[in-house]
Amino acid sequence: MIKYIIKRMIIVFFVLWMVATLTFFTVHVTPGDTANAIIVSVYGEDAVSPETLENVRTKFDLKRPVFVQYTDWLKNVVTGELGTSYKYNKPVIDILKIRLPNTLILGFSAFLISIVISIPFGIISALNHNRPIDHFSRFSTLLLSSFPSFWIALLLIIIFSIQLKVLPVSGMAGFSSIILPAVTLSIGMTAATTRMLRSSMLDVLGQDYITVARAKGLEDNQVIFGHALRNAIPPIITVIGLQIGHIIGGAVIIENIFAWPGIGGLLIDSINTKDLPMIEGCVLIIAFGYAIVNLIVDITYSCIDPRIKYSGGDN
Amino acid sequence: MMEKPVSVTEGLRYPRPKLAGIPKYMNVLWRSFNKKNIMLTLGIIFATFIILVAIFAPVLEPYDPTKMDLALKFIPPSAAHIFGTDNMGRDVLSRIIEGSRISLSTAFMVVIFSACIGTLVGMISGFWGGKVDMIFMRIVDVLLAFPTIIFALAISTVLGTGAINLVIAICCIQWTSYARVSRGEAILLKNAEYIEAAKAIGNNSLQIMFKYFLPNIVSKILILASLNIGSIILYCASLSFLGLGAQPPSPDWGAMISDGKEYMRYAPWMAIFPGLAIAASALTFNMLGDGVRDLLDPRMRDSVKTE
Repeated sequence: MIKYIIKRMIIVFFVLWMVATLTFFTVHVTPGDTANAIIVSVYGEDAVSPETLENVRTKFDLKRPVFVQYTDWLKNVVTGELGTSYKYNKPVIDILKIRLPNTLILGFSAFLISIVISIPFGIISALNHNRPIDHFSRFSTLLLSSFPSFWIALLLIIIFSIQLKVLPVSGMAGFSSIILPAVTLSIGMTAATTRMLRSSMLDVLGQDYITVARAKGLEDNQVIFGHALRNAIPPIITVIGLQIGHIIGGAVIIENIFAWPGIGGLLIDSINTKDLPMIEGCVLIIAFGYAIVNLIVDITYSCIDPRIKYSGGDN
Repeated sequence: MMEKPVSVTEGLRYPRPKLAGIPKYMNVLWRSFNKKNIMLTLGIIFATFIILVAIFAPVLEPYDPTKMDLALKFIPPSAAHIFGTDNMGRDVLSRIIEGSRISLSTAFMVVIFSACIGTLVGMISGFWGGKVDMIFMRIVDVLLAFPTIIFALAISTVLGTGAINLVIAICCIQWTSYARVSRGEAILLKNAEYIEAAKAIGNNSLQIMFKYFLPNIVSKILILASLNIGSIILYCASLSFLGLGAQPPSPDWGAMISDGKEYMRYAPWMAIFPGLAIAASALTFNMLGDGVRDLLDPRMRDSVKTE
């Protein structure tokens, strides 16, 4: 068990290092001159001239060889120093610190919504296999996983904000403003988790030990929650881990639509303004967060599934 | 009672590799109409319809999809313009029909390229094992540390916008799931007797991979690809909604919704109908994917959809 966790931690550190490296080179080999990009993003197209280019190169230390820039950058990343945003002229880490909690609130709300909806629906659907409610749940999850999230967001805005005027269109002010973005963001995960829980429950309900549990006279509730659900959970954890990636990716789009002041909206802004340190900061923090979530998922999985616990995770 | 005569050589033959060529699948697909695979039947019908629409787009469009006429802007859905007109006076229906070409072809290109690259890398990795395997799998680990959209955004900042760059950006992550599946299969097959036999009669590594591994991996890859198309359509739409896909004036569903977003107070049809087109095609290919999976591998029913 401990061996497995240590092994996973080493892999995560390696992944984080590679992620940092990949992010640096992806952003820094951008076609066109970085100095040029800085001037365009800060002062606009007209300000580009040989003198300003020279000034910016000196100011941002862009004359150093790329490899030196890389090692310096890596040292800075380890110490949490992510450079200065070209656009805001403030340390990237400060802006990220303000924005990150907003994204976490949004992501966590979406996560909660989908858990609260998908677990009962998955169980009900499996218990009523091939009855109308099962067909309804299968079809609606298939339908929901086919809708583009940004389109659902717009529909919800048109219905609830423009027509009914009950919820705010965008921004972040009070509880009512989180409802639409969180619901939109939760849809994909709700659909996937419901489907997975349904089929996982169906698998488990067909097993011999469930028949035994029923035969020895346990009540339905005990069979379902004590025996079936416990054994149906492991595959769900994998799906949830994958879906958290979807939530993180979806947050970029949803924050953009609802003008939610989080990391995702910031990323799109920085891409549009070519604010390189900001892009690097956002991508890094998202990838780091995702890697850590995956680590937690793997560890949880290993705690639940004894096969991994005892084999040391070699499979 | 007469015993059934047993051939002397029967137990001695090597099990033959299952040759799973395309014609056999076509045959199976036809038979599925008789079985109760509703998902597959509906999926095939709708997918054929959508693909035909994309092919015959120029014939089907009631108006020129790029012709602007400001006198006709923001006309609500009516008999002349079934889906209304946009802010430039262009017919929304015509633009959706024209947009199906770009939106579907980008999605198909992503699936085909990532399936080819992923299968090849996975086979090599699983077959050779050792250092090659380790290097490839670490690359996969690193790429999987990025949510697809985030990585595609980062790649797009490097490559710039445009449909081809969009395909490259999504492929960069998507090939990994094919690589994992084909690697797993290759490892399972590696020690099969008929592979040993193939080696013994003097096949080289390349021949073994393409003649003996590939036919056995194809069905798994086909299942994965058919499950994948629906979500790829959504990824492409999301990225072009963010402005990274095909550039104006070529109509693209995601970009049309992005345009419609600005006018959703006055002209909600500009965003609603392209979204329906995306949802309908994603749903069609999701049904097709489910159907193909049920057909080819009933054990995989409702299993994890890969990202």
